[in-house]
Amino acid sequence: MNNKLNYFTSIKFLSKYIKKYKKNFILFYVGELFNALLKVYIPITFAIMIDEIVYYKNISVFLNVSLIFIVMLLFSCALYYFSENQHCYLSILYAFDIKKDVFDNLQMADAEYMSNANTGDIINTVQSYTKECMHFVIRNIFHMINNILILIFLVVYIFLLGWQIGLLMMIIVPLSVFVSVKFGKKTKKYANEQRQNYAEYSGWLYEMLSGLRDIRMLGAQDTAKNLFVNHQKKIIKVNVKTGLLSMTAQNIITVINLFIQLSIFGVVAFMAYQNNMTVGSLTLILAYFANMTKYVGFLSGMYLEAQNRISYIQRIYDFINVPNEKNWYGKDKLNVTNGKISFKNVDFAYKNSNPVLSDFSLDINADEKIALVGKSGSGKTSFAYMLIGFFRPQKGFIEIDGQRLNDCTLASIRENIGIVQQDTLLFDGTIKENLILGKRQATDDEIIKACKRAGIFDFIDSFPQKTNTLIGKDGIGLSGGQKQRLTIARIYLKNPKIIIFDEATSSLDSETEENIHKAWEDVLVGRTSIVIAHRQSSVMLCKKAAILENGRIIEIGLPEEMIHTSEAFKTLFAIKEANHHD
Amino acid sequence: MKKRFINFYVKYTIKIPILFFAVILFGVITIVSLYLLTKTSVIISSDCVINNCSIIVDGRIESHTGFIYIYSDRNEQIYSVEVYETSYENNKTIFLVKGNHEFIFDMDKKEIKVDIPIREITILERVFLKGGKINE
Repeated sequence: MNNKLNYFTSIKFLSKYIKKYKKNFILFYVGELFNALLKVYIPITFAIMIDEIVYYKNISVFLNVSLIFIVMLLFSCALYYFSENQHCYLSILYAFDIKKDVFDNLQMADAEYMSNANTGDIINTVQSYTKECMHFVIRNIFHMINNILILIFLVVYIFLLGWQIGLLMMIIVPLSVFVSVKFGKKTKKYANEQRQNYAEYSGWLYEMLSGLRDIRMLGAQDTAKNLFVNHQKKIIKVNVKTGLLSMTAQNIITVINLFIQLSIFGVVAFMAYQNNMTVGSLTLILAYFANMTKYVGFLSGMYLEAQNRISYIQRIYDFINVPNEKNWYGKDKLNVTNGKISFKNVDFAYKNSNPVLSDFSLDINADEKIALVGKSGSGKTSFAYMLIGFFRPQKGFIEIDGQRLNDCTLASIRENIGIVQQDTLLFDGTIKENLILGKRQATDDEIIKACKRAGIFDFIDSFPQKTNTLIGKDGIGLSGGQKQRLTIARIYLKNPKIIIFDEATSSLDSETEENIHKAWEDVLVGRTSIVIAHRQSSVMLCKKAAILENGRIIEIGLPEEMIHTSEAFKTLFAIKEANHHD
Repeated sequence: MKKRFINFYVKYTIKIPILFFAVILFGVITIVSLYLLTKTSVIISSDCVINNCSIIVDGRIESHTGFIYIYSDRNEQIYSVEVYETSYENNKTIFLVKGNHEFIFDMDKKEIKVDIPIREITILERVFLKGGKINE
């Protein structure tokens, strides 16, 4: 998690993704390598053509070499075509594999990590940073190797043509490397800064767009605009710094090249004057010098780019290595027959914060309906999340029908426990696609039956396409109550023995809440139910209520009695109801 | 039809590298063959002295083509001269040239050089062993 990646560790990290497309990468590289070799030999062939015709009027050699020259150019085009095909193929699939891994990890990431994660950063990681990995592999590994090879070839050939020129040209390489390394460190620093700024900005923008209506209602457009401008300014500031740095580095290299170029021209002119240099050789030296300058510039540019990309790869590496549910060691299948739940002396605290549950014990009998109430932060939702395996107790244990949760697989735990939350997850798609999320193999009959029991069938039936009606952005809109009913229909389909209602009706009006409660009454029959509620009406549906405070149960009893006898109960709902009416 | 074409295209340009290797093989064989089949001369450039119709250079050198190339500035003008006899004296080579070469007398007082093709090599050798240079 805390491993800082460098050039080589980044290659090592990405190599596991390269292995899958080894064949395509090899083909791509073979194409690029031959193309690179042609770039070395085409100028030599051209130089021979010139010398043979200019000095010795050797037309037959000239024509033959011209033919070789044409074949080389055609060969280069064909190689480029095949390499580009491989490049396109790899660009799509390679990034796709990393995206899949990031997404898998996203789905399994530790609940605590996810609750602190920045949405914008996650979107950037999945969408943009994965592409940078591909660019890194192609440009910063394959092109880098090729460019170094070409440079070696060029240097060798230049020394063959004249050691004096070779020595002069060799000055460029160490100077460029020095400048690149010098500026590379700063570039990396700015790239990290840029990535963080952009992640903050994306997260902020995502939240702003989600709450656009609230901003208008609060009349906070100016504040939002100022924040937007500030975020942009921060991004632009680092962009300017990075741009200036990169330009300075490139300009220094260009100036060095210019001086070396002038020196080479001087030496070449002198050699030509001494009859030691042919026009062909002169053309070749100039072509090689241009190529060498280009490749050295390219290499230094790639080095600077790589520093930038390493910071993106680092983010993916960190993301893939965050603690996740793969570390859950339970192997047994949870078999829920009755639905009896026991929390025994459970301690739990989030990292670097106070205990949420402390020596918490609670027994919930089979088919019992219990309400968990308490102030915000009293540990109600943490209790629910522990029951479905999002968090593990740091001390004590949880049992369902005598089986310890820690010993069971997460899949079997979640198969047996249904959860209804305030924010219902409905994605753009058909009603049917949304309903079968928890049971992919549900039949049409089962879906209709579940909709009827949830009291949403008449609504669905009123559309011509029935359960195939689209909901979401491109389909019909649903009210809060209708969404809740769809969630209840999902529960019927999944048919878990244990259900948790986590403030499920908090955002509904009283009338809708009452209707939903009627639908609940039916769904609760024969199941162990835990209702986490801020409203008295929801609590009154249960046979038992437990009041939580500072991670402990301070009172437990019948709601009908507690409403008269418990001061804590009365205080809690007096406050809540007052807030609700406000 | 379109999908079939796409599948065919992807199969033969990306997944199955037969065509790709065929292109590489064809390209490499063609280029190497042409490199091997095309022959060019290796030249020795040397200072020379012109004496009547003979051109004298240091060392023992023989033109394999029967031609030598004389110039005072290679980038201005090179004269191709046919040799009809080559003789050697005191570690010097004397080329007796054919025909009427009045230019030789014009060049008499200048510093004169001669390019002598000494042997034949393939373009492959010239490219890979000599870096494209024509001189020995």
